[in-house]
Amino acid sequence: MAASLSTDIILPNAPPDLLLPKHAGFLSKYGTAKDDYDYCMTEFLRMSGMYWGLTALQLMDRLDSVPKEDVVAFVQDCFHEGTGGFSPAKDHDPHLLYSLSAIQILAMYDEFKAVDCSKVVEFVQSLQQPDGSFFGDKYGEVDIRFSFCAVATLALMKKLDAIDTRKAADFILSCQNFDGGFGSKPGSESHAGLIYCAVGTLSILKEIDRIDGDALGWWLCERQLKSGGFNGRPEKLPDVCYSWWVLASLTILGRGDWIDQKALIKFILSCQDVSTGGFADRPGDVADPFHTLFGLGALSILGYEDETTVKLKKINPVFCMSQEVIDSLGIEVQILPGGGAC
Amino acid sequence: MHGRQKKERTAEEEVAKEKERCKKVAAYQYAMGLIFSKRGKKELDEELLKITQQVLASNPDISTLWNIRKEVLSVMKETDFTNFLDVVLQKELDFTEFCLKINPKSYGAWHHRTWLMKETNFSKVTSELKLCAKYLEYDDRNFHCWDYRRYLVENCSEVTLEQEFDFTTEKISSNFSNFSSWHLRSKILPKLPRDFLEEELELIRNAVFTDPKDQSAWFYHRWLLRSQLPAENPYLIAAQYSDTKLSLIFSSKSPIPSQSGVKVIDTDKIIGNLKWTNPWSNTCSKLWECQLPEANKNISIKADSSVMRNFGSVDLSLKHGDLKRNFPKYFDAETERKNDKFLSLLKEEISWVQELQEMEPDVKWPICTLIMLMRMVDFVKYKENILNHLDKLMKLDSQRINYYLDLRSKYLIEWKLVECSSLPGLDETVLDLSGLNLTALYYPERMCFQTKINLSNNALKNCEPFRALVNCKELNVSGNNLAKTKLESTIEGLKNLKIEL
Repeated sequence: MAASLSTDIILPNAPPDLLLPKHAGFLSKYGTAKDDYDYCMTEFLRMSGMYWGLTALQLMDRLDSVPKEDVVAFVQDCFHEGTGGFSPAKDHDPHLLYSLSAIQILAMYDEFKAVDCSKVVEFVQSLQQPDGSFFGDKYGEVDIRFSFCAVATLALMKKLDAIDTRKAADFILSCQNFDGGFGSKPGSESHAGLIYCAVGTLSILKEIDRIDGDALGWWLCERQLKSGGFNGRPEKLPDVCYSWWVLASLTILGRGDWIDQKALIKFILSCQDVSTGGFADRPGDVADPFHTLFGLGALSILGYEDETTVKLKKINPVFCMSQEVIDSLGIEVQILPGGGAC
Repeated sequence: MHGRQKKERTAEEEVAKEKERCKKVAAYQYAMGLIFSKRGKKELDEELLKITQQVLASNPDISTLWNIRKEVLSVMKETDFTNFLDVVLQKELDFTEFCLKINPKSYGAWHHRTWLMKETNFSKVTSELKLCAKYLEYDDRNFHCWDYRRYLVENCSEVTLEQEFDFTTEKISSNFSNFSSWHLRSKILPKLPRDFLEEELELIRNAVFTDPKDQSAWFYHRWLLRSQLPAENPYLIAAQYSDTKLSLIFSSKSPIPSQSGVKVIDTDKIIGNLKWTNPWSNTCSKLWECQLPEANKNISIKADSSVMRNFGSVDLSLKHGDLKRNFPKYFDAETERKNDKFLSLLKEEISWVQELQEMEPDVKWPICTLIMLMRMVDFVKYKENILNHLDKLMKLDSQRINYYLDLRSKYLIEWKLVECSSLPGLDETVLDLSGLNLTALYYPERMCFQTKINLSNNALKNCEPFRALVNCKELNVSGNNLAKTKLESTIEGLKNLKIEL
């Protein structure tokens, strides 16, 4: 019965410093051994894996450690002329999840010209449903993750007018629950990752003020556990990736200071793998590019720096990309004013 | 990689593991090559099902392989529907279940099952519901399974709403910490045709007395009581007309007035093309302003009676220089007066939560709940109790101290505004909010007619709310954490403002 006893972890004593060179090494090495087991087994999400790794490298100002031409050629290889979507890897099927990652990568390199973007717009447009939601691909799965992918992809290409944005926002609001949070579709339980998708989509659509920032902000700051880490739902274990989903959402809601930032930093630093580099979900687990990006992303929002390392670049809380890139594209997101201005 | 622990291996073990992995990689690459080549040649046959099955069995997240299976299955369905329904479907369900055993959170596997159900008109719903029960037994928080279950229930007539409700009761009774069940209950309850309030409160009491630290039932409790309150649609609480500017204040965030049916009328004619703005360029705001085309007119505001309820539900006429306001003495549905029956129920709630709080003084949830309940019963009368409880929360739960400080600021401002609302000539006297340790300036729109505001010696740090103080002439913000240049640039539009900083 006493579930609250088993839903947190105890951190090892002193967390290591932020090991940026190790993380850069971990990421730029990732994928050099094409026959590596883990690498092959994650082929089905390769495009997103590339985006996670490259964004993390860019935050550390090490994007140049990966040959740009190879990356752009890979993205081009995954572009489906017929549908206008991107697949995670060659021969796989196109999907909104990987289309956003591909467009994020191209935006990072200022290489939209590498593909026919008007086709990408058509792909996204074709997946919007009458209720404003989005299919992930032609097989009909609906999820607000796909709403976020669709809206973010179009926003990066400055083509939001291709879809019904009001309906897209209305659908997001139809996924809101009794606790103020959002689930994957109407009726689904609230989950911090999906809240990020909801809040991010509304922010891009400049409709974030349609939600009650105080109610949702409270639910989100209640995700922080004694260990300093965040869980994604009540009575679950902490995980580094929720540092991002929760903190980015709170930042968009203008309430990033409602949590214990020092405790969160300690938790994130403890999830570094000091021998291989990279971050794991929890201390002692296997590191991967996904948790590495979200650990670094949260540290960037927190403005973390210590004497031994260079400062991380500023990250945009909505697009999860370096703020420089978002600025260079001239994109503005909506952040709630906070401080009582709601 | 979620929850994969790093294993320390000896050099020998490492070599063996690497060998095994090389084999797996070679097998994977061979199989994938074969699959894509067959698909390219449109050989959508049983062999393709077999090979994709081999790969998915060890990695059920490869969504393209599920897509390929759907292509093959569609062909089989087309060729021999009876066989598809009698034989193929069951095999496919068995295989999907096998994959779910490997990864119970596989998006691909769950969606494949959804697709199969749709393709076969939900003919296997009964056994599918059993499968869900089994998986929820194994992990009662698996949201994929809950979603799938809801999908089945929505698409068949086998499960009534009552049965669905009973299912959540069963799950909650076996584990009070099951937030997923409480969530589903919040969706079903409003659709049931009977009054459940007392029963629900009883269930919540059992849950929180069993484990007062568990958030689940507390969140549900909060929602349940608040859902009894009337829905608060925004309504007009003040209007000011000076020079050519019209300002409207609403009780809660309102969409742009032209969209919510507010019309501005100049002697029988609707003034068209008004450009409504608010200080934060938001789509919803409590403060809306617009410039009228001509000065010195007698105008009137027309809207639905619900929007105009604080002005006797009629049109509101305004002469140049007029300020008409009827600020309510409450701030949201939570602080509004309740009927006697509900009030006595809330008082009973206060009494048992207080009892639990005294038994468990170090647990924060009863305290959070008491604050909500006290605000619902009489937020002015309980002022001291609420402040004491907030102090306790800040000590017990210091991780969220900034949240509690903002909440405290909000309540302090509410009390102050209620206190001031009965004072005569309030716009010209100083609104004194000094020395309260305010960290946030809530309700700035209700201060917008104020000409003198003293906010000195607080802990304000965010300049945004100040944008609403459009009539302020003297503002004392000394002794705060506000950056001078930031504040000055934020409120640039405010004319003749003297700031003490």
